Amino acid sequence: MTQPACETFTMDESKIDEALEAARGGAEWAIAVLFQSIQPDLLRFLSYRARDVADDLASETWLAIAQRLPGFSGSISEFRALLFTIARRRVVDHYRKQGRRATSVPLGEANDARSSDDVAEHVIEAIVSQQAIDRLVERLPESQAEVIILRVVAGLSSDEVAKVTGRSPGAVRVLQHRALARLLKEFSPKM
Amino acid sequence: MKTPDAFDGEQLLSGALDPDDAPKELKELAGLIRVARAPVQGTSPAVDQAFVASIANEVRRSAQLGPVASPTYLARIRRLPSGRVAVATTALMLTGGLAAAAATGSLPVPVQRAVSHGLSHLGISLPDPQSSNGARAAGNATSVATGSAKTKNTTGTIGLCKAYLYQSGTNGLRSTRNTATVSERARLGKIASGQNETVLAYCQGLVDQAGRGLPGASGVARTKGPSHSSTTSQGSIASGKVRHSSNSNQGANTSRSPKTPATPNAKQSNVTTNATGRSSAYKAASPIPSRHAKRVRTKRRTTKAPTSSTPVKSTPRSASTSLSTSIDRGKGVSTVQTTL
Repeated sequence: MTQPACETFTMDESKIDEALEAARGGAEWAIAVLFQSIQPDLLRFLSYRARDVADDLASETWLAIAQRLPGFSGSISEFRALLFTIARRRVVDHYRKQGRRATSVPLGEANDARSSDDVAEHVIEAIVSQQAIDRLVERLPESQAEVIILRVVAGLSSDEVAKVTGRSPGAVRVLQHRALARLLKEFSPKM
Repeated sequence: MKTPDAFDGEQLLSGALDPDDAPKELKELAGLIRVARAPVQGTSPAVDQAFVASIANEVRRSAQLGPVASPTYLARIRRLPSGRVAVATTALMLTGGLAAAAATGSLPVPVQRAVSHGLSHLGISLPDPQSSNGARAAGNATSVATGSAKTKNTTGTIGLCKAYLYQSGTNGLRSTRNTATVSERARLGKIASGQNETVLAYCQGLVDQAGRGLPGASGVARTKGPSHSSTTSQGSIASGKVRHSSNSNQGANTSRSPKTPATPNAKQSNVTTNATGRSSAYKAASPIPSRHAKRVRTKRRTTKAPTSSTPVKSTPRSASTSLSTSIDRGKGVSTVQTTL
């Protein structure tokens, strides 16, 4: 089996679907593809919720999804939704053990938690991207910020966000609408 | 300010809305979201091959083991030692069934006795074939009665039997009651038939047992004459012994209970509160009509006891007969005593 090189792998949807199918059998190259595809978004999401332990929680999330992967049957978007669901539960468990509520941190401060190739250009792009996310959610309430993060960073649909957060799709759409209204008020051009 | 509708919102969040094509008020927000969601080109997390290998191993191991199931309640139950569960279940069934059978008194006599003794230590009273003749006498084995209630029932039956035997002229008994009502005779018949005996045989056996001093039969030994009053005055609740004499002032009359005043009112009170609780039966058996009885009571209240009189030998009559007779004679006061 030809194992694609991780560094040169391009995120192609068909390739990812193929990788998901192969990953169910435990193919390392396929797991590496999925890892490269999803891990940045997963780290950004986890860094937003629990910056200090984002790497640890990401590892736990991947190990947990590995146990379910052989019996998983679904598309890559469903796989992402499942992965972020597990990650979110890990965050909740983490703060339950700590005895305090989850607190979001500005993504701009979460750079250290993110692995990178130390390429200056990529880092700058990443910082720009993270700063954009930070600006989006910094003034939103926790529930609305979580919906925006999952939709923008994780790329989930509103129904998938509903599954991840355990809310009804209608509730997610309401939260999303209120968040956008607030964002529009903030970022609309001032007269 | 315009609020983005659902379509615009979906377009914004999915990054499908190009900032250049967006309405003026959405341009900045659309640009920010696009930058935020755009994957960083060329950046890929440093793949830790060891970590990926461990994930792959975990996938393969899970594929061999099958789906991971969380421990369920049933699984936790199964973890219990099966022997302990079996013993607990068996003990529950045995104790439950045994207790139910013992409560109805339907166990064999030795088993019933053993269970009764064993549970008596726990404060549970069950029919005991050894300590009481209640099961046979009362024919009431289906009730889990306390000891006192059982004794009361037995002695009540003894009283009925004595009335029956006296009425039938058997054994030369003298009962506290001269008659038994129809319902009481029917009750006796029912009890006796439950024992597969005739009423006569049943009652004779029961009274004989009582005479031998079995529990619940205290103070029912037959007395003829006043000399036994001191022994019978203390206890024959069930027998409700009634003594009568035509004259209460017969010197050292031992037939009258020392607790019982000699006044007619007190006597009347004793009659109406017969210890057997059978005052209605007494009234029903009395040959005096009720109107007449009222007049008699009035007359008795006004009658003074004579200062001296000749003792009259007590005869084995019923109280009502004695009462009516003495009033008819207009001499003295009939003494009707009930020992409690």
